[in-house]
Amino acid sequence: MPPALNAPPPEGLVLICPDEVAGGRLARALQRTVGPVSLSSSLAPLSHADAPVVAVYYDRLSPEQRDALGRMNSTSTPLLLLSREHQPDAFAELFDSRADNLLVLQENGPDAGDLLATLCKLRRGEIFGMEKYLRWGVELHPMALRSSEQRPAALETLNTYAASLGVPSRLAGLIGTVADEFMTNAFYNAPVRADRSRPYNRRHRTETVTLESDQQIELRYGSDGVRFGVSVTDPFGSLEPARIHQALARGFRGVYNLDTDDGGAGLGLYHVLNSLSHFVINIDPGNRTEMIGLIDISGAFRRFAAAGRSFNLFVLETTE
Amino acid sequence: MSLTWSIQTPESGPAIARASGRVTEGVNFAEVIALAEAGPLALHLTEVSQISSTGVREWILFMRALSEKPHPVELLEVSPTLVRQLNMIANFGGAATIRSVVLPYYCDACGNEQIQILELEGASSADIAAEQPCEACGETAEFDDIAQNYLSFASR
Repeated sequence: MPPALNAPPPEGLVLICPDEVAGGRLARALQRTVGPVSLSSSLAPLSHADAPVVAVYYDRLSPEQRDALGRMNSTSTPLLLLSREHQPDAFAELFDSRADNLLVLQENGPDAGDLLATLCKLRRGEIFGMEKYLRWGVELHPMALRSSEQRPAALETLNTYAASLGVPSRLAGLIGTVADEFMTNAFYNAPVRADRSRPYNRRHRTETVTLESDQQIELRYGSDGVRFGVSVTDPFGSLEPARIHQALARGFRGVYNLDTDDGGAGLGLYHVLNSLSHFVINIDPGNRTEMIGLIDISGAFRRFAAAGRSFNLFVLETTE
Repeated sequence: MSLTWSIQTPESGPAIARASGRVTEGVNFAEVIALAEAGPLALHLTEVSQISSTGVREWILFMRALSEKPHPVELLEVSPTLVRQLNMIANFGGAATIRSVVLPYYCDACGNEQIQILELEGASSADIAAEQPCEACGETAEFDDIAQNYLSFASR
């Protein structure tokens, strides 16, 4: 008699939604992807230290609950915001304080692949890799770069590749813009010395930066036919979550003013956030940062422009 | 391709500078700024395809430099890439008068991209045609952005 095969129980999650009908509908959609979903009408699960991942159907919260969520500067449980409506001011406030994960809701809940990737990363800590956001079998094209002078050639290669796939020119332009921002950040902002000083962040971006051979950055790109992905990984892991939160909050607030917004600090991240369908930042402090940009290329630019923006920030806990 | 300029100085009317390519940290505006010193200037921007965040900084400095010159500056046929920046970045157009913008159209049937020019004087989002015949296949090419937001910069 063969041994019994016991499937591990699915881990599930808690969904906060005070609207029973809407919450029940979303819970069933989530359940098909993640297993049991327990519905809560209050924010209380966010205060439970041992709660699993908590998802919040943000659009359905009462004004009082939104205020309360905005005041929660830290909670012990991972928080996943789900929203169908683009609510820039509310998201700006949340991302300024503590929110790390926002997934756009489509007709039948969030994209199942994005949801699984987010939960898997929150639970298991295996945060790196653009493959998690693209369909299985996608061939990703890697390019190792040591000098900032290689950026124009890398962008030319990327543009040629996007054109060969028939990506509409405006979407291809966004892909190039994002890749340029990622590479510029990796060459000029990311490098840190042992004393934590940043040797290149004040350099004009026309001045060449050449990294050591063991510090090279990696650009990767590829498409699964629905999404075009581009990522840049650096070996520094120096991006500070607080700075990301500030830049994202600024990004959600709308029109950027270089005269009043800290002289343009965070403009690069603002630019990136507005150029992507889904922006993912993975950080292993002191060791590695990976920035991933995903653009929906399944339709015209107008489809991209009308859709919401998903965002994830994952930071590995340091053992120092 | 980095930004390149094609300059014309007709005997009458403003000097014309046509830009083409990507606005990045390495862009050189000196020649165009010098034109604005000499007389009225018209910047044709149809072919500006991309702009980086460092390019945004350089562009705003460029617009500031132009605003300090004694002659008027006009922006014509502003590309969709730059229209996005006008909507996202305060003062992106500086003190220049924006005369016209490019309206992008995309045909789902054949993937053709085509443009139409919209003169801005007295125009509103209602003047953006939702669709037009595709120049390549004759099917319908739809306006390829969000019409109600496209001209937001004009009302700020």
